Amino acid sequence: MSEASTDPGATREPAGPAGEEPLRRLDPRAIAVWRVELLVRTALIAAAVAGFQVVTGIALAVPDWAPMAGVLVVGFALASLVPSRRWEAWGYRVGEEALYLTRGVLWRTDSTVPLVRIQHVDTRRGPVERWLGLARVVVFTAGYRGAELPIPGLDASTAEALRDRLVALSGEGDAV
Amino acid sequence: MTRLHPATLLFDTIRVGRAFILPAVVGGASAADDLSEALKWILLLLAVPALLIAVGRYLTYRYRLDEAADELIIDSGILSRRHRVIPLGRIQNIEVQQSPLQRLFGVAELRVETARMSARGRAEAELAVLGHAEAVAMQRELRARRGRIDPAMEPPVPTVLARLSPGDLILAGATANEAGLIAAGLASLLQIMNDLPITIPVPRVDPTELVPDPAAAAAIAIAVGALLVVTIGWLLSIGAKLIRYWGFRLERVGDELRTEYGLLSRHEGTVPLERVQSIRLEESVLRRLLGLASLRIETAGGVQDGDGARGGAEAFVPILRRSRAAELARAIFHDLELDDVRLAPVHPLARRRALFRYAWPIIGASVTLALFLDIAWLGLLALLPGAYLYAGALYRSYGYGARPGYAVARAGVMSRVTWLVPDRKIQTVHARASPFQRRYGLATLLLDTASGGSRTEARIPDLAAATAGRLLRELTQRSVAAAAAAAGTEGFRTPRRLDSGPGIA
Repeated sequence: MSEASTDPGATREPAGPAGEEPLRRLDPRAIAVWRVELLVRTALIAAAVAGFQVVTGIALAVPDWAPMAGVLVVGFALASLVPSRRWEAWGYRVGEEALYLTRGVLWRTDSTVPLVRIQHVDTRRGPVERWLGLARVVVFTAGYRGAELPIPGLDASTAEALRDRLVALSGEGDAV
Repeated sequence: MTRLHPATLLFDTIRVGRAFILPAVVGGASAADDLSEALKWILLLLAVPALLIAVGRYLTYRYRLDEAADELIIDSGILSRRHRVIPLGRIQNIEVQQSPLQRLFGVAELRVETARMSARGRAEAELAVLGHAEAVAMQRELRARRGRIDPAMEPPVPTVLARLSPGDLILAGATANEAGLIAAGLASLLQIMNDLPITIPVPRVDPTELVPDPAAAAAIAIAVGALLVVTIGWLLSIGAKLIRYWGFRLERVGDELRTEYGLLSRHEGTVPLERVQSIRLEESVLRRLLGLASLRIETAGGVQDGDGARGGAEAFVPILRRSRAAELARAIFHDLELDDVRLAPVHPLARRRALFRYAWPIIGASVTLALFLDIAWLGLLALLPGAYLYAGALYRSYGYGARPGYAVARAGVMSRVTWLVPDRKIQTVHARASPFQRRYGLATLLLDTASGGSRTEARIPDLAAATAGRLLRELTQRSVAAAAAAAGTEGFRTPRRLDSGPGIA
């Protein structure tokens, strides 16, 4: 795999069936967003586990702090390993006829969305994304698997530009 | 604005009352001392709130067909008012449905579905209940306006595409895969009943009287029991099919498909031909042997459950002769040519992947059970050659091909499914590779249409990654070309061409 430059305009080598041209990468700050989200989720699960233990008072074969510690360890491991790999795996490109998406660390999915099939496009920003100046573009089609296709971790202005471009290119969106 | 039929009061009361049963029972039981008192209380607690709500709903629900704007308008809600506008052009499926009780009263439910899949699986608009004649007239009116046909004009002559006799339905029930599920369900039910302190008045026969050897007697008893369960399950499956699809008829009327079926609950649905997203041919093992199949015609939106939706946006033919399937498909997709469609095989490694999927659980279970229970459980490993054969059959069942304007895919052994997807209905295409597949350079292709469902989407498993990539591009091009062609004929604005503006990536 090529060296991952963290320049936001950087492109990655075309991987898999997505096409002959290189794909754009997501904003490298996305890695931070995913890390924060994972850590928050870990904290919540750890709290739930601890709360569950306190409330039900179940005695386990392992010391009382073990389940919570286990959750924290797993959570930290995932938060340090997964986000950068996920960033590395992500790529998108607006082509002549279709939007190309590639993603997935373990399960790799390459998707093509014909521009004429796009019904509408949203931008969304969660709290962490807002904090870091990022946003997500969500493409809606009439399909089932492609009902809502998100492109996460884009710089907010890039996201808006992408959304506007996709809307313009999609025309009127066809009847189903 | 029109109100619903007065019988709505009765049916709404029943429907709302169902929600109140539990609190009513609890309240009644605590308020009274003896049974009849309790029953009176329960009825009161049930009937009064339900009736009040039903009256409220009846008085506040109004609907209207706006002929000038071609919209169906519904105002509803007791406390918070809802004003719903449904453009007639967006309507996919219009169903008139009657439960047995509704048939008794001569009323029916009118269900209007649009392309959006409702989260709770309910139709966009449910007018429950209208007089039956009224409902049918409304259905006709909506269809006419949706298709810009003059409702006063004579309706076109229907062409019957499929009609099923009771004998056909018996055959359908007898060959359905679900018979096995029903039998399994029955077996578990019996098991549960065994554990409960209830004695069933079944004649007890001591097996050892018939066969002196106790071990053989036990084995025979188990075998007979299993046979009984399977037979009863089988009969139930047949019965269910008969009741559900009694009087089944599928017709093409003009540019629409009309289905009608049901013994107790009656379904009458219409689906415009142009909204059909794909056709799925399903052949269970038994049916394949007998040259039979079932056909599912999928449209956008709606909810799917088991075989045939509960009235959702699709048409389902429970059984037909396999040889007639092509003819039926052509009645729906006029330009489909299915003669000599050759299905290409997928990558041979698909066999290995299938074997892996089935061998691992067998080995795992066998070893685990052998370690913890009895070494004899290693005998499960004898299933492995069977898994190998099954994996081979699965590999051979995978296939894909294309006709002008259509994509064809096939997969499955126990239930072999063949998909026919028109290019113009392909929404998005995906190539998905699990870690195992990536290691071996494979990928699964998924064709997304507006009538999807993770269980039912068209797929070509285990293609060579390069083939998957090629098909991804090809199908995208076909989808785009078909959309452009359709836009041209229907007069929609075609998408703006890619010229200046922010550069392409």
